[in-house]
Order: sequence, then C-alpha cells, then structure tokens
Amino acid sequence: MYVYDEHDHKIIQERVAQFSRQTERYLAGKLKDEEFLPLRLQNGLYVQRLAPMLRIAVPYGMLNARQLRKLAHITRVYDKGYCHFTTRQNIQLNWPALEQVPNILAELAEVEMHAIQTSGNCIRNVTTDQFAGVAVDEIIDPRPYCEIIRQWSTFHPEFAFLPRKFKIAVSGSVEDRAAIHFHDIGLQLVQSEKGEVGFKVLVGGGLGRTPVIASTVREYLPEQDILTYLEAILRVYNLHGRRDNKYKARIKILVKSMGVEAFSNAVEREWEKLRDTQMLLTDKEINRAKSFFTSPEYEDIDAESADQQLQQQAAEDKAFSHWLDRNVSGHCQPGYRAVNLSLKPVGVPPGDVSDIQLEKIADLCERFSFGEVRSTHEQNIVLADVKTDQLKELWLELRAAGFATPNIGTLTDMICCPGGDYCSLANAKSIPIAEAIQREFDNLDYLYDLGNLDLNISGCMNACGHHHVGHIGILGVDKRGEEFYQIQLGGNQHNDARLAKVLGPAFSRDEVADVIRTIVENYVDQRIEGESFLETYTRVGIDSFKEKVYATAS
Amino acid sequence: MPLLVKPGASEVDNWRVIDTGEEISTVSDIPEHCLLPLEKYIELAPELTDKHGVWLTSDADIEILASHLSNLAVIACKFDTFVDGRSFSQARMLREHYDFNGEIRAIGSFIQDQLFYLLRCGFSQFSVADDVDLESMQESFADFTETYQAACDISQPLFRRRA
Repeated sequence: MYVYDEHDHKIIQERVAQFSRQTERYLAGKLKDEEFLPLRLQNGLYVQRLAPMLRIAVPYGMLNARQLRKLAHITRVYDKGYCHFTTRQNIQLNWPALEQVPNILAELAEVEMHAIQTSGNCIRNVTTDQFAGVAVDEIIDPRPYCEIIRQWSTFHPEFAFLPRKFKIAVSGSVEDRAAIHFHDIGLQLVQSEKGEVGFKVLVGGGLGRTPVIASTVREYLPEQDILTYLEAILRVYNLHGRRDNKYKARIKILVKSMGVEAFSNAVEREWEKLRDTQMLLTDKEINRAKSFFTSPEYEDIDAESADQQLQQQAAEDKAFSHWLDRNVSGHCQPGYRAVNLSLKPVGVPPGDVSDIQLEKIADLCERFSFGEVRSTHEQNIVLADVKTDQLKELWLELRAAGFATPNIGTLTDMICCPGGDYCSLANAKSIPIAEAIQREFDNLDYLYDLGNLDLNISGCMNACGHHHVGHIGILGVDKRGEEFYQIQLGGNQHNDARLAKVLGPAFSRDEVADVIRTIVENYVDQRIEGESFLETYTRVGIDSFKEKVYATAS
Repeated sequence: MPLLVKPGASEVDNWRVIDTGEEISTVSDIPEHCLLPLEKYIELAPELTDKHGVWLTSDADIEILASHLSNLAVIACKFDTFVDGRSFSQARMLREHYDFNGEIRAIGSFIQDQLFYLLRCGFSQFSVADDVDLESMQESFADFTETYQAACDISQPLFRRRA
C-alpha cells in the first residue's frame, strides 16, 4: 500500500488548513453561499436532505487497519456510529456537523486519508479492480498507476473547474472489474509483444441521464505517456465541453457531438505539444510507485494439501461450502484466497457498516490478511490475502460479525444508492426496495440456483446505483409526486459492456418485489442448462419477459 | 478605484476595460491603459502599442492572438462566472505553447480561493474591487507550498524532484 512521504503529508495538511480558513470565512459571512459551494464540494462536503454528508476518499479502494480504526472513531465521535461504502469505493458519513468537518479532515490526515475531490466538477477518486495484485487473470497490477494518477489529479490547478465531474477507472486484468466502459476515461493496461507496458485509452463512457459506452481513442499508449495524454484529454474537455446545460456537460456528450475521430485528433494535436514536457513519466517514478505494491510476505504453503483439507471442510458443512462458492475468489499465490465480506445482509442498507464492525474488520485484516482491505464498487469489502487453511476460522468470525452472508454476485448483492432516505436529488427511495427484494429472495438455495445476477437500484436518473448496467436495473421515478419504479433488463458492466433496456411502464413500490420474482421465474423457465440470466435474456429477448410481467400485473 | 493585486504587492488599477458594445472607430479614440475586446484588438492591432492590452472571453480561441503576442504587454482573461474554468487552460497555453512573457491578468468574477491555482496556470495580476481583504487575499496566494504537477510556476513535477 502507498505510504505518504513528507511531501504528501505537507500537501494534505496545507489543504486542511486552507479549508479551515475557508470554513471560518464562510461562517463569518465573508464567503457567499455560491462561492463556498464548490470549495466544500471539492472537500467532500454535500448538503443533503437532512444534514450535511461528507464523502471520504478511499483511493482505488485500499484501506489499512489503522485507517479503519480511525474511521470507526470518526463515525462514533462526529456521526451516528455508522458509515456507508459507495459505488466509487469511497465512504460517506451522513450526519457530520459543518463546523466540525475541518476537524474530521485533520483526523483523517493523521492516517493519510482525506476527502479531496470526492465531489464537485473536478477529477474524482480513481477506481480499480478490488482484486488488483492478487487476481488470477491479472496482466499488470493497476495500483501503481492509480497512485500516479491520484497524485497528478490532486489539486491539479487547471482542472478544478471543469464543465462537470470527471471519473477515471483503471483495469489491469483480462476481465474488467472496474467498469472502464462506463467512465469518463477508462484505462486498460496492456502488455506489448516486447513486454512493454501501456494503456488502451477509452473516453466518454458514463451512466446518468444519457448512458453511453466509452469509445476507444487510442489502442496503445506507452506507460510513460499517461499523464501528458490525460492532460491533453482534460484540456480538450475543459475548453470545449458544454457549460450551458449541466445535463449535457459530461465528456461523453462532447465525444458524441465531435465524433470519436475528431475528438481523438484534437487530443492528439494537443498531446503533440505536451508529450515531451516534464510531465513525461520517468522509469524512476514508475518503479517508485511499484515499490509500494509488492507482494506481502507470503508463506510457502503446500497448496495441494491445503486445498484437500478445504474440500473436506466444505463437504462436512453446507453453509461453509456455500460461502466458499460465492464469497471466496481465486488467488495468484498458491495456498491463498481472496475473501469478500458481504455488506448486504437482509435488513441493512447495502454498504452500511457500524463503528464496531469497522473495528472488527480492522482486527480481522490484521489476523488474516496482512492488515489491509479493499472496498469494492459493488459496495463490499475484500480481504485479499487469506491463507486457504485459515478460511474456516475466518468464516466463523465473519459469521459472528454479520459479514458472511453468502450472496456475493447473486441477486441480493445489490448495488444501491442511498436514495430518497438521504439524497436530495433522489426521486424515490431505494433502500426499502433493496430490503423488500432481499426479503423476497431469502432462500439461499434458490439464490445459488439463479447464479450470477447483478441487480442495481438508483433512486433517480443520475444513476449512482448504476441501474443501466445491472442485469436487472431498477430506477426510481416521480409520477405526479408519487414514487414509481421503472425496470430495465440486460445491462452488463463487464467486458461485453451493454446498456439495459426499459421493460415497460413503471410499478409502485409494493409491486417491485413481485415483478422481480416474475422476471426471475421467467428466466428459470426459459433457461437451457447452464445458461446465466444474461445469456437467457440475450437469447429469448425482452419481449418474453414483458409478456410475463405485464400479463401478471394486469 | 479597483486594485491590481499580485503576490506581495497591490496598486490602483488604472486600466479601463472597453466593452464589446463600445463604439471605437479610430485608434486616436483609445487612450493608453485600455484593454480591448479580442476582435477590436485584432482589427486595430497594426496601430496599437504595448500601452494597450486585450481582454479575452472564456470561449476565445487564443490561436488568433499568436501573431500579436510580441506586441502585447497585458492579456486579460475575463471570468463571467468563477466556475467557468476555461481561462485556466487559456493562460497555461499562452505561457507554455506560445511562451508569452507579459502580464496575464484575471478580471471579472474569479474568487479569492482560486488565486493559488490561477497563479500556477500563469496568471500574474488580479483586478479586484478596492474593498477586498488584502491580507486574506495574500494568504490565499500561498495556500500551498508544495504541489504534485509541473505548471507555470514550477517546471518540474514533484516526481522529478523527489529524492
């Protein structure tokens, strides 16, 4: 994990001091509301429906035990004893007091954390694969590049007042687990035949009101050129992105209106002037970044006998076996596994964690996974380096702590925005919908039988719950002051990226769980052995589902 | 009178911004220390001296100015609203692509809290109302003493300066 040096510490501390002065000026009436707005946003502070909300950055999802304990302390002292993991791998506090935010930021700075650029029209927290560094299908570890991009984007003087927010994701594996097709910039690490490292550069993806799959603007960019190329893209966007209409201000609209070729040409022309500047990365810097993400001190393990023992444990205990199937992933190091902690038990808003649970995660990662965890964009937690022969022991601990719901990747492992319970933008609540679905599908055997099924819920068309890319997507809409829910089918956030299609007229809140039941039953009826939900959907088409759902409803 | 502020100093801003709508037919109509709209400046450029400057809207294409830069001592970038960040790029391109060494002046609705970034992007002077808190403004110029990126204020990014 990256460790701050004196420069990083200084920059973060100076930011805390700057924001303290700004908050003082605001509270003294010397800074107008509209002037304070972007300043507080770029320090993570929103004003929500009921209270301010502070979004804390978790750069590319990496957290250590010390940071988890600090977060527990902060939620206890400054908030109501819980926090929320977001779809950008970040953490939100729902009830901090505005005057105390500078103190919270100072506490975060002590453990090398901050809330910088987690909101506002600037470059946001860069995200990546939660299995970075341990994935079986990894080509190149994306984390050193994420850290390089984090530093470059932090307080970038030219790009703090962009037309709109700007999100970058990096994938270093064969399977895309970072949703790079749905970011303003998506970077896929690739290795040339000569062994040189570079990026495939995608631009203009995104969800929100106008969902778009990103276009490739460059097939191969050498790794040294990444920062100058990002500057060129951002400069073209900053100068030419629309500023007259916030719903048309994202880079995806610019790429569409210029056309991919013209956009790429504009970027290349700008890049010609930037590529040989001092921002060209050095091998020394790339190696420095890589030095923070080396493998931990893995033990030399007899993987074969550990696997045998595991199989035996699984055979003896069905619940443990289910958990292994769903919540445990492969690992590049023999004798190790990556373990998902589900933050989606029934009755808890997806992604919510209490202070005591944060401390428990801190203890467990120290005991079982070299003192580090990752947050995922599916709003779960990963212990990335667990010894195979300790899985059973860890499972017992997780069960007691409420993290062992064996539903990772299933229908009840939903992505869900905070919705109308918290968010002032939302048209409808999303948490009660998630809960109703969890209660409807509480039979674990049935869930396993359904297999991988992404269900995503957004409380409005801003799409924080990524409903466009769920296999099943649910969108909260407002109809004459009443909350309704539109159902979409067939989205996919991974390699074969696709946007979901609208099924038909929206449903009332009470109807949603039944409708999902009908959709799922239609899949079960129609599937040919071994087919996933998405495969069946692709084969039979949306009409098959439409007929069933609206026949039942009418 | 408005003030012209820079790090460590301030003076009365005796420059006048000529609006796009103002009637100007000949150069003799224009006193010294005037900032002209871009199109007017280009039109009259052959007869103007470096006692005249130009002001740019945030959507101006600075390439149009390229051949005039050697005659210019002052280019002003006007903020209609402080959240329009295009002028940050304009200033950097003037400095870095065109090697402009004169003054780049911020005018209009920028805010104090942008001063540090504006300096980094190549702005050198800031026209503000005379009732501003100058001390607080000077503090904002120095919000940070360390930065990650190369920009107009520092040629090497932190990664080239780290030991």
